[in-house]
Formats: sequence, structure tokens, C-alpha cells
Amino acid sequence: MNIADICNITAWVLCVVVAFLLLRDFVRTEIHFLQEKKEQAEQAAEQEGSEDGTAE
Amino acid sequence: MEQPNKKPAEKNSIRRVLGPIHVWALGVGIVLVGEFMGWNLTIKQGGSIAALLGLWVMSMMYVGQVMMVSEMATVMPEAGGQYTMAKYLLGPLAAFNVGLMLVFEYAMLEAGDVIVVGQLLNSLNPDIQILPFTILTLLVLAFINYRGAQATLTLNFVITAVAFTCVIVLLISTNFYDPQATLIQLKELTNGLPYGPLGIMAAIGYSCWFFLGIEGTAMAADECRSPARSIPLGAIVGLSTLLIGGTITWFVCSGLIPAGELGPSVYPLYDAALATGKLFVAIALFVGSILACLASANGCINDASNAWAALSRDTLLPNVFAKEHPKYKSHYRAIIFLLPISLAFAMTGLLDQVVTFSIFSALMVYLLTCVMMYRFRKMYPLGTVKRSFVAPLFPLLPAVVAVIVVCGLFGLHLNYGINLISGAVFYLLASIWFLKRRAKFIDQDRFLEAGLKQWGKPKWM
Repeated sequence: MNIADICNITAWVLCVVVAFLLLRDFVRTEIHFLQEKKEQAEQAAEQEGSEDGTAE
Repeated sequence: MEQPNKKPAEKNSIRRVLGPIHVWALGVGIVLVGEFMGWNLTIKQGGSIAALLGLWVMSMMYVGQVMMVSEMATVMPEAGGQYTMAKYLLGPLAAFNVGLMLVFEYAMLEAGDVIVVGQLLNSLNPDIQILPFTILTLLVLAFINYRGAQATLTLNFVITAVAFTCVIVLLISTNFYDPQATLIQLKELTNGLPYGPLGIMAAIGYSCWFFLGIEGTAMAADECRSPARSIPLGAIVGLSTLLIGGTITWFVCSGLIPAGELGPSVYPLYDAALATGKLFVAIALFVGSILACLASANGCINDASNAWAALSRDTLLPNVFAKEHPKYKSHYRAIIFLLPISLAFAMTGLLDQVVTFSIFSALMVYLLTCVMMYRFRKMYPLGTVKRSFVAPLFPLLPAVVAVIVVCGLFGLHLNYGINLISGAVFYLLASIWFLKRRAKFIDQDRFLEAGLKQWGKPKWM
């Protein structure tokens, strides 16, 4: 194995690593926003429920 | 290059700290890569003399562009270049097309940059594969932009200075000033005008590459201490730098490399440095080429994603792309969305194809800028709205610019007609999609929020 082969393999490995890091953060961020949206929906539903209870 | 549309709240909080030198750095920093790669397609398409003529003719077109954009940009209520101008002067369909063209102008430029990086590394050792380094460069730069850590203006200034210095080093190393010792052999190595006037037209189109994006200097208007002075001065000095650099590049490359080899070269300045036989010059140009490509690609990823996010924020695209990363504040969805597109083009390795598509997109924007200039003066004649800068020679200026642009488009089609047709069909299909599927979702108030407050409804509404 010569130096060019080592460079090529290193480049391919780094490609996979960087792509993984990018996708991992992207997926985590999307999950974070989905959870935030879910929490906001739950809070809104709770508020509505308590307002209905007060009105009655 | 171009900055994204800034919301009125952000616009008010921007500090006005930039002077002409910063505008110069902004303009030249990303554009300088055009001298390290791509410009030599002018030689391939038109011959040596056509390339030089094309350079000077295209510089006149860009002077006109900078003048027009400077007048309109300093009046527009928000930053965003020709996209913002199209919003307020032509309406949503034109704005959508201009935005899309700007995105693909940058996306193709960044693809071209990383192709050259891969090829440069391959030149060190033929066993080094081009593809993994092309992909890796794009992924790393996308990652940097994703993390919100784009190159700062200072770093861009340093890279620009280093890259330009490398060109001067190459010039001096040729001993051009000494007739006895000069390495320059213009008479022997150039091929004149092998394709006649049609070759000049072809060269005009590709000469765009020397200056592609310099009009983006007008986007710094918001952040300038004195936009009326800084923008035109910085842009013109930037254009002059690129014109001098381009002429030196032509002179050195044409004098060191036979025209037949120079035309298809992927990295003409580096090849010229190798032709001098001087190791330190070759190293300098290797470093300069890589730095110029990286700086350009970095800026392009930033600008393309910002432009895509701006389209989304203005409801011209689904608003999913306007979301900012909660931690890094980057337009992360736009970066991820555009990455595979640039990757796909970069992986083809076809530098001439991506350069052609980038130039085609840019020329279409320049043509629309001429239309916008006429419309701007008609809608807001001199005296009706405060202008920091007035473009001279109206109505002749946009007409001359348009003629040069049309010549460039004609020249492009001579050898890349299929590419131009494909590009035109792409934008046509995108427009049809926009009208049929997207137009009904446009939020007119959000689309023109800043302008409505300042001017009221624009006259096209």
C-alpha cells in the first residue's frame, strides 16, 4: 500500500465521517423541533381545557 | 457575494462599519477564483486574442452592472441584490426566477471549485483519486457553514491577498521585463483568432468567469458607513483589480502554455507556473489555486443557502427551508437540501458543463437587471425617491449592457447549445411549477413587508 492509497482511503473515511456528523445533527435538530411542536400542542390543549373548565 | 434578505428588525441592528476596502474584499474574494480556473474556456472557444477581447468587453458589461445595481440596491428597503430588486420591481414570478438563477449560479460555481481542488491534488500524484477529495471538500465546507462558522471577512481578505500575490509572483518569475531572459513567448504559443468573429462572441460569454459575482458588492450597502461612496468605489476598484489580474493571467498563461493545451486545462495558472520550471512558483500557485477555490466554494455555499432560505422566507418556496438552526443560527435545511445538487454536478467532473450552467444563470440575471433598471427609472423617476448613487448614461447604459449579455448568450450557445436549452427548459418548468403550485401560497404582506412600510404598494400590484 503506497502513500496515495493511504490518502485515498483516508479521504473516503473522512467523507463518511463528515456525512455522518452532518446527518446526525440534522436528524437530532428535526427531532428537537418535532418535540417542541408536540409540547406546544399539548400546552395549547391543556390551556384550552382549563379555559373550558373555568367557563363552565 | 450576495447577502440574504434581512428582516427589518435585523436590518436596524446591523452595524455600519464597512468601508471601500471591505467592499473590495467582499467583491474580489470569491470572484478571484475565476482567474485560477475556468476562464481559459475563452481560449478553447475563441482563441487567444478573442479571450483578451472578451475580457475587456465583459469588464465594460460588469461596470454597467455595478452602476445599475449600486443605484437600485441603495434604494431598496432590504438587502438581497437582484432578488430584492425583482421582488419590488417585477413581481413574485421574476423574483422566484432571479432567486433560483442566483442559487444555481453559486451552486455550480462551488461544484466547479471542488472539481478543481480534486484535480489539483491528483496532479501531485496520479494515483490520488479525484472523487473522494472532491466530495470531501464539499462536505467539509458544508459542515463549516452548517455550524455557522463561515470564513470571516478578515480571513477572506487574507486569502484574496495571498491568491492575488501568487499571480504577481508568477508574473515576475517569467522575467517579462527583460527581453533577453523572458520566458513569455506570446507569438509562438498564441493562436490569434482561429474562429473569427464567432470566436469573439463565444469568448465574450466565458469571459464572464473573470468577474462572476462582483455585482454582489452592492449587497453590503446595509453595512457601509457611506454606501454612496463605498459601494461604487469598492466595486470599481474590485473590478479594476480583477481586470488587471485577468489581463496578467491571460498574458502569463498565453505566453507560457500553447493555446491548444491552455484551452482544456483545469488549472491554467498552476499549469503556467509548472511551465516556468521554478519549484517555488509552482508551489505558490498550487497553494494560491487551492486557497482561491476553497474561499470561493465556502462563500458560494453560504450565499446559495441564504438565497434559498430567502426564497422560502418570502413564501416563494415552502417555508420549511427558512428555519434556522437553534444553536448555530445557520440555514441548515437549505444547506442540506442544496448539498446533493452541488455534489451531483461536482461528481461528474465536467468542469466546462458546470461553468456553462453557472454563466448561463448569471447572464440571465444580468439581462433581467437591465429590464429592472428601465422599470425602476419608470416607476421611481429621478427626484421621486432618495438615491445614494445615480447610474450614469441612462437609458444607454442598460441597453449596452443588455447587448453584451445577449452576445455572451449567443456565444455560449455556439458550442453548448444543448446546455443552454436544458437550462432554459429547467427555468421554464420551475416557473410553471411556481405558477401552478406555489403562487397561491404567497403571503403578499410577508413578501413585501419591508417595502410596504417604506413605500406603500409597488406599482405592479
